[in-house]
Amino acid sequence: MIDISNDSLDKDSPRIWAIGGGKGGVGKSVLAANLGVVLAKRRQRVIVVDADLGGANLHTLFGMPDPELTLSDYIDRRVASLDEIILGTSIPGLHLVSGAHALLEMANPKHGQKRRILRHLQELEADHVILDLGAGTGINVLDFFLVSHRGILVVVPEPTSVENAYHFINAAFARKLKQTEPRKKIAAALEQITAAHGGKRSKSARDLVADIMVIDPEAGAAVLAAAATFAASIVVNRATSASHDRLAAEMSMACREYYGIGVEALGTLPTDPLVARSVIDREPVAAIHPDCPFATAVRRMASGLKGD
Amino acid sequence: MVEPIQREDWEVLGVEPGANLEKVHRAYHTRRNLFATGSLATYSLLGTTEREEFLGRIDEAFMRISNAAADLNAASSEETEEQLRMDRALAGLRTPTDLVGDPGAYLHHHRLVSGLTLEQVSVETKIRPNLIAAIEKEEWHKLPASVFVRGFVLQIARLLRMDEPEQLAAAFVEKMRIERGED
Repeated sequence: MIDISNDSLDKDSPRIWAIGGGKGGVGKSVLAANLGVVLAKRRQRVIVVDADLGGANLHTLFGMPDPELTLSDYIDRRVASLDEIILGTSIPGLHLVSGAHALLEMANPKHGQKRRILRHLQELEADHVILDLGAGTGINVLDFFLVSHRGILVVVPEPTSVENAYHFINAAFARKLKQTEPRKKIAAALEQITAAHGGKRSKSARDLVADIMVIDPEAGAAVLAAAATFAASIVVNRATSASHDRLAAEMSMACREYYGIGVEALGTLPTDPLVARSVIDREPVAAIHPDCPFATAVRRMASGLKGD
Repeated sequence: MVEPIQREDWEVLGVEPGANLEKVHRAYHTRRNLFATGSLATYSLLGTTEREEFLGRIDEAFMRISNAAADLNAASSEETEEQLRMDRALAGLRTPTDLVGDPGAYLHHHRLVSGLTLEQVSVETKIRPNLIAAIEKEEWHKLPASVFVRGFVLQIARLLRMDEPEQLAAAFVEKMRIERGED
């Protein structure tokens, strides 16, 4: 278990934003890169970390085809700290920790390795650390998500992506409960509830809290607090219509009213042909076309970022 | 006797206790659409049975609140203390009964009860939404000549399947003439 909870972060450590969303190809890396550019342009020290081990490509988005030092050097302990693998990019103030060349087995770092990464992330000399997470809901992805001040879920307006986002929220919340004290009492209560429901867990967090309150009020209060501190936001990417513009707010409302946890609607990013163009040109669109619709929306989104 | 409103009914619809009927309607329709079977925003969030149960809760909450409002409007003569209390809590839910005095508000109320938005009425009647709103709010200066307005009111009232379209149209135009100082 990772016991570095986001409560233990002190004020001088960087703000950590994790960008996930379950589904591949929804624009997580593009958002990570451009959010980095936008924050760096505000004279913030930014480090973008490619935590998509096994599927890393942030370096390519920054036009760095073959980064000399990457997370694999750190994981294999060829270097002692994350600081040594921080690379400069073409954008002043913006740095990259690349995940390139990571071997497949590194996609699932061992428990001790993960602890070390998570601890070092919090010690980085920066104002913002942006974690670009891989697809899926593996334990490592969830732990990076939960260690952040705020997890940002990228969703595209398609049922498959919405489905993966809800699956991600569900999995992340379940993972958070496993790390919430009193762990043993919560685990025992959850087991009782599962048994009472004939092997099925209560589906929504709201139902879970109601059930757990009856069984063990202390565990119930802890679960309620965990639900209240679950800091996640939704960003809808590749929006093309007014109904897409409402999607983030609607999903936020559904999470609150049905599921029982607050997932904030952070913004909507429009479909912008310059984004695809910039990927081919290997330069973040916010750096070359700062006033294009996509970059403008990312700036607006960055202004709304809150994480405590 | 109608089923009394339950405390959580307001919460289920996400409105403040005692919110006015327009807010209650809007909240109900928003949630109905959000949790409808084909809704993208809630795709896979709820299983089929759960979705039905959740929609059932929304429907029941709405039914209790709107029935209580209708019951209030039936204006029973014995005003018990309990009723007065309910009355105050639900002040916003009152139906305007004065067709002649408040024809705009009367039309507005019936549209809300029918569950149609301004846009939906506009699609059916081909009357621009801001004109429909101006009729409902009795914003006389925003309305065209009375001969047109009479036709609009008739069309809307018929779409809403009201009992007295002719009477309402006549009352509306009469009030408009007086307010505008026309002959």
